[in-house]
Amino acid sequence: MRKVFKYLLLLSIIGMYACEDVIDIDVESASGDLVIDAWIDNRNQTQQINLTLAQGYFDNTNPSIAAGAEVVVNNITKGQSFEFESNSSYYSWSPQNTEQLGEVGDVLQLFISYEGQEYTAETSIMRVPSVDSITQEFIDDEVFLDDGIYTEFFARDFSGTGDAYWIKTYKNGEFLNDATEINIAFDAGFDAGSMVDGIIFIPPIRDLANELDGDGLPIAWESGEEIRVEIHSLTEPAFNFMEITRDQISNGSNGIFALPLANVRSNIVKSDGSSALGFFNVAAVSSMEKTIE
Amino acid sequence: MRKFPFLLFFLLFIASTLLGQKDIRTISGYIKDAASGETLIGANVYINELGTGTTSNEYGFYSITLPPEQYTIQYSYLGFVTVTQKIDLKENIKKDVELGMESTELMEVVISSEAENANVSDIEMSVNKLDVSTIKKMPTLLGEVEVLRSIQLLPGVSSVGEGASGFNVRGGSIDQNLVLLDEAPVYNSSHLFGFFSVFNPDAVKDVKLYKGGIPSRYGGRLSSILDVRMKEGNSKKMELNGGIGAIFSRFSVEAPIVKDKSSFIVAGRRSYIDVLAQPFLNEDLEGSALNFYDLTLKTNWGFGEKDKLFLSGYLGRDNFGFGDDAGFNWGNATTTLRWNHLFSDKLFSNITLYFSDYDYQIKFGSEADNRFNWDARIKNYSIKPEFTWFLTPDNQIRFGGQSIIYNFEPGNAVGVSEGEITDLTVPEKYGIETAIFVENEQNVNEKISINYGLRLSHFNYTGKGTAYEFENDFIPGVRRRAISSQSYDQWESIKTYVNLEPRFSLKYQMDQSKSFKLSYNRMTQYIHLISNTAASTPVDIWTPSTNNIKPQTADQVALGYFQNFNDNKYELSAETYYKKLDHLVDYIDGADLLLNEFLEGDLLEGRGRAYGLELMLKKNEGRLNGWISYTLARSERQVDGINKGEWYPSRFDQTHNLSITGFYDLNDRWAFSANFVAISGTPTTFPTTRIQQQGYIIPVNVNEDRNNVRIPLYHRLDLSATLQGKKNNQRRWQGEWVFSIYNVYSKRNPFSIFTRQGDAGITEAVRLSVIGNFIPSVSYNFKF
Repeated sequence: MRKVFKYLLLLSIIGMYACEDVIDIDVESASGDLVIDAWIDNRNQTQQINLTLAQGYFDNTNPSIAAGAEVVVNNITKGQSFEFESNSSYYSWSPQNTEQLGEVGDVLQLFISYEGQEYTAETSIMRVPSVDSITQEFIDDEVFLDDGIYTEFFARDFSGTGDAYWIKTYKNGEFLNDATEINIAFDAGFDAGSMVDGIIFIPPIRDLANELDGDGLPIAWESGEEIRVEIHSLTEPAFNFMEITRDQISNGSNGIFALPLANVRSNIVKSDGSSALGFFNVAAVSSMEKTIE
Repeated sequence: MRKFPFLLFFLLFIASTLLGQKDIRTISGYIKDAASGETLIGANVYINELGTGTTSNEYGFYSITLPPEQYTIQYSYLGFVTVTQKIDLKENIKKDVELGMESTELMEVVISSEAENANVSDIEMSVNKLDVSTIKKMPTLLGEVEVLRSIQLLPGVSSVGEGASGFNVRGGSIDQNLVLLDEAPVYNSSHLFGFFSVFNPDAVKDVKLYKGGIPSRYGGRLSSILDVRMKEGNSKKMELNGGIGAIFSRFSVEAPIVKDKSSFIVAGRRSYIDVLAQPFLNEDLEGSALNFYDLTLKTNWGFGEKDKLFLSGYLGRDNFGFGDDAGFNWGNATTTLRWNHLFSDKLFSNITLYFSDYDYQIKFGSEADNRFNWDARIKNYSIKPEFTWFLTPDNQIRFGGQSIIYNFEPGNAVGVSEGEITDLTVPEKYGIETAIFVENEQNVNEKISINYGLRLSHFNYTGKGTAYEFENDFIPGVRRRAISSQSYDQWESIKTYVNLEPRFSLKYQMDQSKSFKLSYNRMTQYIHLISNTAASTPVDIWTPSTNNIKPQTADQVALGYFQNFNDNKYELSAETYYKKLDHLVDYIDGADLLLNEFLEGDLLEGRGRAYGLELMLKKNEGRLNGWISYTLARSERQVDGINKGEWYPSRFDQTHNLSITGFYDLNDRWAFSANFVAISGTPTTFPTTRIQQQGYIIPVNVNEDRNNVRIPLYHRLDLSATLQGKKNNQRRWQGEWVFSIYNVYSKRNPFSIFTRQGDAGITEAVRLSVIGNFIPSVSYNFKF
């Protein structure tokens, strides 16, 4: 919504006088804390957890890797334990045969020990609906859109509130990972208060199966290109985390309607009871692929 | 309402103290501008023999009651020739007086239209008045005369930045200002976000801002009352006014319906960027709209000697459309019907009925099967009887009440995709606000005057609707879930609140040119603007106090010293204030404020405090006049769940705020004006840290500090020159050219400093200057 205002301002005469300059600013920075990036799923494939060190906000280098940690995921429901092995830049676990971290409904725990500090988190594997279809349509003569092929995906939310999803779209195998392309849904709508439950995902969500340009406008597909849509189930805290992530990363473009800085809220706690940085979610995943005709 | 007998007792008590005075007479009437027949608000009536007097009220009516003797009465209003009348008050006299303009333009008053030492002698403090003639002389942005920008040059008034809608008074948020246009509240006072206000200067008569010492007849907001009164229209002869500027074209007509008895004014403005842009739009954008307009009308009829009716209306809209496919518009509409009735020459009454509506609409898609429509509104209906009883020259009692019915439509949103309908509508909410008040303005002796009053307010949050109960044991700052709900029928009470709001002011006048004033007021606010962006947006919604949202309250104490120098040529005022705010509305991190039925679970309750020193020095006369205003202030908030629960400066906290406004009349054709402002940067929140998750770089403030960085100093100079057409009394057409430059030295003042994530994970700080250049403009105004 706030993006719309920005267009309006630009279109109006006033917008012509606005300007943005990159400046140096002296702000306290805090770095060195362990950041746990544990967004994994229950598929029968290699799972990866990244451990890095937090950087000062204006430190534009790649983050340092936190090496030498012990990383374990326990399935509390089933009494199983999965040890993640250290690679050069991340920690991973590869399943044997048909092995999975768990099933929908299982409670899983993350345990990390790093430089004398212990970190734990608990989550449940939430249910995920199947992707029913991916459709394509040739659109011409529409404001802001180039003439071309645009896609839409269809899936139906479960009855009962509290389901949350992260929909990931891949274009020719590449995850569309721009902040504006983050597509999350609470039940079939935008957030917990939209009160749309048990229906097909509402349009702005199912339309986000397109790559976006720098202005947040969809880019048309070419025939022959491959589209893949995955739905990853989220817990409610994970949804809130992703919602703030999306809003904060793209907040700069909101101009005078910028939101105040909001911190993402971690579900990982240190042994002293304080909150750590990062998140632990184990998703169930459904997906569909299609070649653009 | 149970407290009503108490108020009645209070009234009787005052009345009983006055029963002794039997042999008295009353002189009363209206004071008007001789040229246009417009009533004059706050004109002075002075009895030479007694050294006492009164002022005309909002409708130009005055009444003064005295023993039956001979008196010399002076009627005066700055900028007008004083009229002196000898009167033998043997019986009650009705006397309407018309004052003529002073002949030379150079004598025109700048700020106030009050008794010459009103700054010192009035009991009011923390009040600023601006004449439209003054507002019209100030340098402007793109040549548009602006009511709301002008008041930001007064002490204690600020804004978060250029383009931000609304204004902040003494550390309060923008929704804590009650903006009244002929007594009807205007919920969004801006066009084009915050660049222009909805008030058409051609239709405005008088602007008065109460920042403190708010009398008990006003209520409903914590921080200020901006009382904008519209012109009645010329009741002597037809008058046309108009202008062509860079943004708007304006035109107004005013004329008598029955000479000296009734008149009307119709004033309209429209922007025309879209008209100019039309030829440059491509096929897709054909039919696009980009305009804003407003229409203001008012008319009045007098029925006999004792009754007068006023009907005024405002309609304004900002309208943006992209081809046929997408559109966005918002606007206010107000209608006010007022009935002035004189029960006697000592008891003046006014009953106001108003309707006010603010709404916005957003739509995407033009096909019936594929579209998204979203609209929201706040509607209210009110009745407000008010009585002024001019008991004695030393006691003026006002009493009355108000009842407001609110209807909130927080969002009606429907999406249709391939014929499948998704309804995201948030149910309507209802509330009834009722208040009764009484106040007495009493001159205790030559030195001491007091105004004391009480306001009893009541709010009833009613159905039809569902009230939710939210979980109680929660971590501050985290979304709360609804745990139970209950349905209510239409007008069934869900939750009620009662508040007693005492008001008091005192003036101690040491001599003709020096006084001290003290005031206290308690205010209650039952409706709240839900907005967490730096500048409020047009889609922000209002919500009533509910079973989960308490009414906001404020207590303010102000102390001031007032002195005039050099035969009232210079006025000095120095005021300090302390304001305590409770039950303020704030938001959790990542709050969902729009189309959220569980909005209350995303709100936090906080408190605030604001204090400061305001200095103002004004020069009222001479070729060079103007004022210097300086404010030293602090505005802080404390909310469990924000900033670790500790106090932090609010988003609109400005330590220093200096403005200098000057006018210079070179001769009877050229006039110049300038203003300079220098304002401390407002605070903003910066991240300390960046963390990586799934390839995204996320900003984090690990200390959870709020508003930990100050944006740099803001300063700006604006200039303006007005060239009057050659004076020719034979000709009715009078024109003037206004040349202005905004931001003369092209200072790139920051609106904000924000962090941005560029390509390849570059994080950087960016300064956003809403106006990064100087802006010259020319406009032409005419009068016929």
